[in-house]
Amino acid sequence: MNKTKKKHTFLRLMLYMSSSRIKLVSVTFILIVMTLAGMFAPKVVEYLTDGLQNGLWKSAFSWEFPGKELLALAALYLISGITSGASRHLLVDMAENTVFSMREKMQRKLEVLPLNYIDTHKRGDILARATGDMVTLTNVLETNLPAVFTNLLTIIGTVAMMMVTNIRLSLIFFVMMPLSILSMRLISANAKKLFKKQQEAEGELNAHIEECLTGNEAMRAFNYEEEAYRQLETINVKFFRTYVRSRALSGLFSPIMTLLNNLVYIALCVFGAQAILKGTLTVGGLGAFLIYANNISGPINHFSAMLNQVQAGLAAAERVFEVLDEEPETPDNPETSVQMDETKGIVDFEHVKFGYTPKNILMHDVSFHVDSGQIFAIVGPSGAGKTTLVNLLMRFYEINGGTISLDGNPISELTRGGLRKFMGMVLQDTWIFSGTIYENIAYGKPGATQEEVMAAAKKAQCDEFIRKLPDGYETVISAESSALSMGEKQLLSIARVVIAEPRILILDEATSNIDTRTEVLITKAMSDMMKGKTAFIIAHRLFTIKNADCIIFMKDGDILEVGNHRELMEKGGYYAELYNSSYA
Amino acid sequence: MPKFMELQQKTDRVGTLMNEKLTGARSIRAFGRQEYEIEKLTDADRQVRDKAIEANRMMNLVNPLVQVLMNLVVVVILLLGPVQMKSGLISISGLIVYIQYSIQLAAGFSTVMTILNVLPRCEVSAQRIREVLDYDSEDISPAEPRTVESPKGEIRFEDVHFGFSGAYDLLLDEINLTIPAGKTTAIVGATGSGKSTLLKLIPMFYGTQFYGSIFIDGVDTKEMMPHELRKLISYAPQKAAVFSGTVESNLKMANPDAAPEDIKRACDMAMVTEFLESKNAGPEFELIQGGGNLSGGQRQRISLARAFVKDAPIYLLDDTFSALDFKTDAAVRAAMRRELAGKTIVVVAQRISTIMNADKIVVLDNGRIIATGTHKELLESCGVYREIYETQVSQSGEEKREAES
Repeated sequence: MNKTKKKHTFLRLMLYMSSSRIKLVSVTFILIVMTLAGMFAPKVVEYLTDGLQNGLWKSAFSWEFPGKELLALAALYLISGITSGASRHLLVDMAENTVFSMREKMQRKLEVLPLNYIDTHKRGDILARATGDMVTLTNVLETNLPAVFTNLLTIIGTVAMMMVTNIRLSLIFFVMMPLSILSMRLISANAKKLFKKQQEAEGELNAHIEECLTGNEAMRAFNYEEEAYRQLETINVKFFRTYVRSRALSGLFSPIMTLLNNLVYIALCVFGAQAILKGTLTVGGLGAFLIYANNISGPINHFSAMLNQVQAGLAAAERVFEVLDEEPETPDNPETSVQMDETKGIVDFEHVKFGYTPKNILMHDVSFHVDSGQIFAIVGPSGAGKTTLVNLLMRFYEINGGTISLDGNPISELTRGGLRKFMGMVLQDTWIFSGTIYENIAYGKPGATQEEVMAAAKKAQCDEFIRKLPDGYETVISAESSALSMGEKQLLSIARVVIAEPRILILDEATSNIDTRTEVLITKAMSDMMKGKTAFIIAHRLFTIKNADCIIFMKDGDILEVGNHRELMEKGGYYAELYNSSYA
Repeated sequence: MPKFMELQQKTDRVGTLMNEKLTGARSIRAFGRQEYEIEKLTDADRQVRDKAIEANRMMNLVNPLVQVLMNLVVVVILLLGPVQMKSGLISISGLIVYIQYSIQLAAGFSTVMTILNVLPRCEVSAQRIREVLDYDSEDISPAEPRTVESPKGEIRFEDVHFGFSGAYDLLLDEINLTIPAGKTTAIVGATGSGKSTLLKLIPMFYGTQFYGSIFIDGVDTKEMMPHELRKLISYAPQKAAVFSGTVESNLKMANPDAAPEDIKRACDMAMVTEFLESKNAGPEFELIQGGGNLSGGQRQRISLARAFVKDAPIYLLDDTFSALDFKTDAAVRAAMRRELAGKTIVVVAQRISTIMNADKIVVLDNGRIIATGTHKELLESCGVYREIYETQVSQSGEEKREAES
């Protein structure tokens, strides 16, 4: 991150923080009061001890001395306590609310980002930005950033108070302090290298563990546990060593710091005593000075560490802003777009040109016509663009040329929601979210009744296995849930489409994880559902598409053959070859 | 402080939901449920915020309170100290030192407070680690282990029953089956019929927690060391596992002593060489974690090649052909017939074309064996099998028969 960008990020963050201006102003005020109260207390202590030495003391409870001074001191301490509690409370509140509003923006953003963004970025990375970075940011906002502010105030204020108390001692202090800061710098430069090594080892360790978990069966089958364990041990020992080393070094920080501070302290005592003997300093003055020196060393020593934390927080904020600044899909405009209440399901592709990037055109010129209620099948080798084709129909991506239209209306003139409500899509990868089976099915139709859910489950052949589960429809499942087989999860995602009652069906390899016997039942249910509906089918198993009204064979983004099964077999081209090789 | 535990759980939940939202981006948009997802996640985020504020509230009260009390000690010292001074018990410098001490003490206390704040979070973490460490791992090593001398690879199931504890239904019910040595046996059946489970019982993936016995060449697997048992078996799992490293290192997992020729042979057999060539690469091709730079079919081929590189009497292939296109499927099968002649091969498969040449086919339904035989025999005798066959080969079933006659 360069400097202007950093500044920009910081200002933007402050803009978020200042959404509640009253809180920001009051917390700043409270922090100033807190620091001032902390600064003036030693002055009162000085006054008290000097008074004691000069024999002003009569009795413990005389108002003249020390009654009003003690009361002032108690009041200062109370103020600093109350302000510290109040500022913490406000800061937590502000930080949590600020980050919450950023999280909310992030959630909205993720739903309007082009799918291409989600496809081309590592899920772990987006996830880290949406969760881990947010936590870092919260901590920095509620702890480190205000600490930098109060430390700065403390340093400036305390320096002023020290100078007021005694100029010569202050000079000694200012000469010795940089020396101790410098030596700390030396250590921390080394520590940084070690920390980096430690982080690398940690990353390696995590990757290895994840692999062992996902590939567990293969490992056991090949008696690889010992070897995997040995590898783990090597990495673990490496992690342990780097960890211990970096911690040991950073553990040296505070004893060295204490030592250095104490050296400064001794110097102050020696010179202070001299000053007292000369009569240029009172005993109470030295006492106050020592308290100041004590108070200031913490903020000075931790200042650079705090700044580092703030930098880490800014980096996190920057990563969040990066997502928020991504170009969203062109927004739908419900007012100018065409309203369609129903569709006949006539789909046309006319000279469609598409590439994920304009430079890399995948489809050059695709045209076809699908009539209402037709079954349209797409076959071809992997990478031919079959999935891309149906994704374009769903308007998951914007095309680079040509038109796709529904009943003659270009789909770019419809709202995305208005287009997709007609479509039912069963995807290659089943998606199950954590929740009950009931919720997973009802997802396809918000507000679905219990009867509708069960009817859909019956149609998709789910009812039987759902009833076998201990909690039936209320069984809580998730993507990793072992209660369901892959095929069963796919059946559920089919039920989810069944309940939505779409006008146009898109089945993308929907049957690849279902055994053929279940598939027969599904096919029956599907063909019931497909009656009078337009359907697009991508399948490896060619027998499922033999009844299709139209089959296209695609390769490298182009349509090479068009026709029904009989025509294509007679033609003896690519399709025929593929079909014959299936049953060799 | 269970509040921090609750906070941790709520934060975890946001992570889970985010992950789901990202994996399901297509489904969410297809169903037009974006608003619902935003609301769902924002609600979870809101809960994190509220819980964090709540969890901090106590600390924000206690910490300043301790600080004020410690500071008031200074006031008390200055109030009562002079009385002691009057009676000569302490000097003015003694009093100053005393104040310095009490300030140090206050600093110490605030450190202790910070640590006390962290402690409950440590407790939560420790609890989670303990859950894993305390989980009973079952020791399945027999007291007097037996080994198979000169293995031929016959597998016999005798009255095997198996079900997960707590589940209603048995996954496998009364399995009596002999898988002949040196032959190819296929297992077919509907989703959830127990095909994979049956296969996984052989290398003891579910431990000894099943009723009945499985014999390999007459030796009960429960009397064998799992390590020794698995030496007899090469296995390709349903979910193809690919590890970071090269293609070669992935294969060597199964056979550390494999020579370059062995690697090449296995890659050829599983059609790995074919896709590597299209990438202009060889066995040194780098695979990223989880095989992210491969397609599903290519991962399956790597997994198959790994099984082939090991020279074992028994090969268990758990639905490893599902993501292969027909051409590759056929080529791999041909290579197996050529190179693995005389080995016991057990194949779980969905496609009839994959298994119709098997020496023996076992049809499972709902955890029971309903028929065994060859393709021809089963077509005659087993309705379920015939149904599967006909739907796959031709939906009407007529066309194929016409072609055959």
